[in-house]
Amino acid sequence: MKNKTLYMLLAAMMVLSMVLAACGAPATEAPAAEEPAAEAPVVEEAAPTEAPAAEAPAEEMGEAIPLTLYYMPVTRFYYPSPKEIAEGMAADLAKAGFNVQLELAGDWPTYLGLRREGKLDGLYMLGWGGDNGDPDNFLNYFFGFSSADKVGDDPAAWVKSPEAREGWYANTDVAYKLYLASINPDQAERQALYEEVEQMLHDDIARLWIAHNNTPLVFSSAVDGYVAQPVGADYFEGVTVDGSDTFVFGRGGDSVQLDPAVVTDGESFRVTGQVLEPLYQYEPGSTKPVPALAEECVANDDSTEWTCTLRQGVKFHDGTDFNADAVIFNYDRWHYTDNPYHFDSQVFEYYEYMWGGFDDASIIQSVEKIDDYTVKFVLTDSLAPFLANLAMDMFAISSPAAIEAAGADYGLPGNGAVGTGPYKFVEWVEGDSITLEANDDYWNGAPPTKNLIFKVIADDSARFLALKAGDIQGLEQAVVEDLQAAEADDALYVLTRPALNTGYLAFSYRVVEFQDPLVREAFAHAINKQGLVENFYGAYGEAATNFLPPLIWGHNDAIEDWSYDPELSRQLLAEAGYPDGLSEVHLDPNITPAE
Amino acid sequence: MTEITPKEITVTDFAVREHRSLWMDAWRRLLASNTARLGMFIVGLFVFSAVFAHYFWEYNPKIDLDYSLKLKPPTLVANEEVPSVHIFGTDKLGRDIFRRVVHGGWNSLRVGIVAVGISLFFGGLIGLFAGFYENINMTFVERLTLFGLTGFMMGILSAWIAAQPIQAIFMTTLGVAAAYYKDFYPDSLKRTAIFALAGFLLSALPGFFISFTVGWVVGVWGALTGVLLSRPLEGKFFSNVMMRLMDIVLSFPGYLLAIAIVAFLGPGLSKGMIAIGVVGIPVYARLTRSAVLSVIQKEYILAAQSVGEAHSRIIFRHLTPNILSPIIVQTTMGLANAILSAAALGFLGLGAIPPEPEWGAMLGDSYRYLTSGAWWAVLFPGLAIMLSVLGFNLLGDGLRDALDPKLRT
Amino acid sequence: MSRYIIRRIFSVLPTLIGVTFVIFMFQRLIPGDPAVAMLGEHATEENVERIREQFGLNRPLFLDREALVENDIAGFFDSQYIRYMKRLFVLDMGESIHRRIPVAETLGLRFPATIELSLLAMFIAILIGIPVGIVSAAKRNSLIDSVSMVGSLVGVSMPIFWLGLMEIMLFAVIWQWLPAGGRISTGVELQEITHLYLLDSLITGNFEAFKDVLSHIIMPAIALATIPMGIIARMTRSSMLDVLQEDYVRTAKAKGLGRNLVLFRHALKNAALPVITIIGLQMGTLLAGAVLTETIFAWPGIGRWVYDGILGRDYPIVQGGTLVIALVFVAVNFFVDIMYALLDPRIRYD
Repeated sequence: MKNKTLYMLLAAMMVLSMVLAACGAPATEAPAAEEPAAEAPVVEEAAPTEAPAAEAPAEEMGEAIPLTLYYMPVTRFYYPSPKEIAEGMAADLAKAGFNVQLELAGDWPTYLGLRREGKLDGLYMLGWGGDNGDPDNFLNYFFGFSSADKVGDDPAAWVKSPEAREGWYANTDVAYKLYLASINPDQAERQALYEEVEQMLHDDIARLWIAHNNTPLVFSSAVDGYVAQPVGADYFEGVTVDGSDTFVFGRGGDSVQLDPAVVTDGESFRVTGQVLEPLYQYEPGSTKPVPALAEECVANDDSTEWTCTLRQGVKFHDGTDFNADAVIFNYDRWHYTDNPYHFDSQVFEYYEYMWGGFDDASIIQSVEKIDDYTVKFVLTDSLAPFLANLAMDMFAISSPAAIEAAGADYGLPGNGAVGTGPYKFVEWVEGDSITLEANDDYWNGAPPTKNLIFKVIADDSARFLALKAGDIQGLEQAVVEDLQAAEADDALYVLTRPALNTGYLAFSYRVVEFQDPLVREAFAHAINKQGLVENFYGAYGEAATNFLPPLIWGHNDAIEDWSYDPELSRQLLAEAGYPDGLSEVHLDPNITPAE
Repeated sequence: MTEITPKEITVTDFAVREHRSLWMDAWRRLLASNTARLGMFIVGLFVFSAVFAHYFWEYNPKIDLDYSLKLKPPTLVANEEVPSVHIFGTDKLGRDIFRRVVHGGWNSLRVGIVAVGISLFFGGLIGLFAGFYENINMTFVERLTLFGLTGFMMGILSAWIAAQPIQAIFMTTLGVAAAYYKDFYPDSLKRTAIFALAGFLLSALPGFFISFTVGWVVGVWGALTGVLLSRPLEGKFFSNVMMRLMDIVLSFPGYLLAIAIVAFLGPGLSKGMIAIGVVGIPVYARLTRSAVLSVIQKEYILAAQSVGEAHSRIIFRHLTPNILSPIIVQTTMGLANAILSAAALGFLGLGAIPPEPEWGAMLGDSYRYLTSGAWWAVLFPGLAIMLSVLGFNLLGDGLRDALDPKLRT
Repeated sequence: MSRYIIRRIFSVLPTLIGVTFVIFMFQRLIPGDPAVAMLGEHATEENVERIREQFGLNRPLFLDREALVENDIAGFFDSQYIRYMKRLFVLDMGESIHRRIPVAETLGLRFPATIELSLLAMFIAILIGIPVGIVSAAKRNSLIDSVSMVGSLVGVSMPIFWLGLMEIMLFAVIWQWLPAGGRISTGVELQEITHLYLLDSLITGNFEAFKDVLSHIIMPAIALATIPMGIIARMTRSSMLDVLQEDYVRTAKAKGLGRNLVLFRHALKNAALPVITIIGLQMGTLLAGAVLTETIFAWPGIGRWVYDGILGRDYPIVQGGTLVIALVFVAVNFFVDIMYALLDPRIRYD
């Protein structure tokens, strides 16, 4: 009977614990005190950086919300494991008195959408990968035209743009300097301007630059001749595989489409870069534009007109000729919204973004045919990074005949793409693999490896295992620990793609507390960048001091990073009026998100 | 048939035999079973560690981080490389896995209890009412409610189309009237026609004020409502509708439905609880209904009915206690299932908000390091999931044997 | 009997309509705009609007009451749901938003992969589960019985994603015997007939491919098989125990028939019914479990595809994939019911 009492006791305690468990308030999931949003009129101009902050009493500061750090739902090269990095940041911040709550705001497109609308109301992780190696491509997008609207030549009269009103960083002085740099053809002067801008962004702590990551690529030692590009698609045309005429490359995701003009993702360009070519391309291993389908492009004095001589005797994979008409067909298709091949279902996003818009809005006024192998680009304004833009993967030339035949389905898995590149499209099994075949008539010599297969293996470690098992011969992106193993393994070797990206932690300037430079400085001293880089990026990453990666001219080497010093951070926070740390913040009622 | 030996004949002295309730009997049987005892032990250990860790072993996951200890294998004694003891090893951020596993139990336990609570409450009620009214004639008031509600539900559509709340009120009234005039031309075409006409007019007339077509469309819907209301609807109708709804939910694979619900609500432990709870509702509804059906014809129910006891009293006083055993068993096993589903959601990145420890999420974060040999970061959280689920399953199994004398041997 | 079947078919219809309704609604309730999902970071408002127009995403969900106010009856019914149902009627499940591939086509490619995996898992579960159940029942209350019953409960309690990871760790990382994921190695030629690779390689006598396919499928199949294996073993045992207590079995025993003869000839036959039922129902559970297994083993089936679709807001994929899974669910339930009615004379048909 002793047993019985014991069991009774056990059962009673079990029931008790369950009740406790069911009733007990969760320690860390306390619901945030939510006050109804104050209905406030939208004020045309909000001045995030100048607004008086901490002194204002809470009632006037608007809605109180928990201090939130939004982490990215997907892995990007600049954030190799975002969730764990966010946990690391949260721990760093907690030690300095910031009690942040991590939040996953939805999948990747949702996340980007929320950010665009200014609804990531706290700190958020994001990054940028360069498209063409020009500093303008980094800085102007974030701090130039998106931060201020140009009104006349006096920056004092410039108006902060809608994005800024939704809580992006806005600084008209910065925007003005970026504008000046974008129209100046002199590289030395531009470089000085960009360095100045970097210093301003650093001093004002516009964002916290976390790291640049050299993207690792791992290959079987049988593979040789792969060229990893800092910008643009990698070169596969020189790849040789010992004892095989097939090269299988493993990657994390599938291409979206193979018409480069209508996509924006690297996995699409990786394939289209082998099939199609632009007029210029980037010199292997660098960001310098060199001629490809064009033999050369020459500018007039104020660089508003560029005359390009085209390569002769080049044929598309479908046998049609490459000539001035083909170039004009492609550029007109992208340029004019009423062009019959500018299909409604397609979005020529990069054209709009790099060339300022469509139709009359575009900086390209027209592309004119001089003769069969000469075209002239007439611009409405001078454009310093013209050649760098021209060399981008999305402006590769497709066969007009193929577009005419396939219509809006050009680039979809059933049709593939038809260009002049070293490889021809063969087959696309959605979500699994894309197969290409060597173009024996390639103008620069047929590639040595006959078959090129891009295979999708979503998971980093599974991809690495597939490489070790010999199922694939090369891959991009692996876990740091696996990379160390790969370097120690004789059968494998690691290449790195030079870092042309920056992962950062951004402030939403809708948060009143973030408008105070002291608070931002406290954040800057709180994050242990070096620790994050060592732990999550390993030898491949480096802590960032600039938005521009060191590889890009305009990077300001003189900037000294904020030290990692949680104590100083606490002090600054106390100075700013938060001696007990920060766990709740307020939304500025004068800045409202977009609908 | 073997011969009974004298040893097997037990003599019971009825005079001294202590009072034994059915529940005590079951309890005894439970204790007699090895597997049930094992289950109780595991569950007890799991519940204890989770609850007591939560209340007496303070842990702040937010500041738990030490890069110098990242991905260290389990150590039982401190050494130079790993100066602290980590019996389950550490993860990528240098956090002690043992600690996170123990504290993660608290989250799993809460998910299990709340999710099963949701399923049990809604599923149980639906099953109780569906099973009961399927076999028992409704009282006047109940019929009034059924017809009124049916009319109201149908009327909402008209009200929305025409943007006139009056339609819902009219249809409710029509329903109530149909229940009230139950004997008005019963079972004849006339009744159907009259109600259809009434439904048409009541809906269409206000609708015509909006536009001609609105009036017609709403009118047709109103006529259909009238036809439905003219039928002699009974509890069977309610039961059918409810069970059909449950069938629909059951037609979806559980995980996918839970994922979709979490995608809708957003990630987080509490959202996971709701998702898992909702997915479980039909299981409990079906089980309760069939349990009710198995006892509804029993004498004590008929007796209670014949002396005119209120239906609510019959349901909660006589019916509920007598169908408890299968529900208790299902609840115990349901806890196991809920923990498993929560872990699956966590694994897919839809569980607790980091850095809150949660077994599924720990697996999901750490399996990337399997290839580099960090087996401990995956083994221990997974073992914790499996053992706790096994514990509840063993206990549920024992309970079934203990509570259902038919299966007893 | 045929009347019973017809009645069952009719009772399935509302369920089917309800299923399409829920599938449709769920997708629309999930926050996030598929047009934005499609266009990405630099999308402009006009482009988003155009995509919405093109995919009908700007239409109301169920009924357009504003069109009705304008006396436009066709417009009233021209909603996203009605359009969806109309297309479904001609088996057109639309095109995926991102790559514009017909959903039906991808289903045709991916569904066989899931079916092959589920069938093999079920085969393994039956192959092990039923004998274990029979032995347990025959040697009731013995050590074997206890061990196998606790063992089967362990199976039921298994987090299959964890088991999968453990398999990968042992067989792919440490011993490197089996590939960690995928369905077939690149470069292995296989002529597809049934799209079930194991079967295809056997039919064409391509044993090299068979070996390769088997090495890919075996780990996910075992992971997926654990739960049904446990359930089948337990069901077989309890069903056998019930039957073994029946009078005719005792009679057979009393007549002096051999133990095995009684067990297999008399008992098993009659214990089969509930076991068959549970096998049928487990087929549905397998499809659900496929989401996790396919994620871990990079198996190109529909579970993983639908999961990605949910996260990527690719409505047509989610709708098509979920619909097919739900249909299989409903169909399996339906056939189990019918079979039950056919096999068990105690069931009333009316």
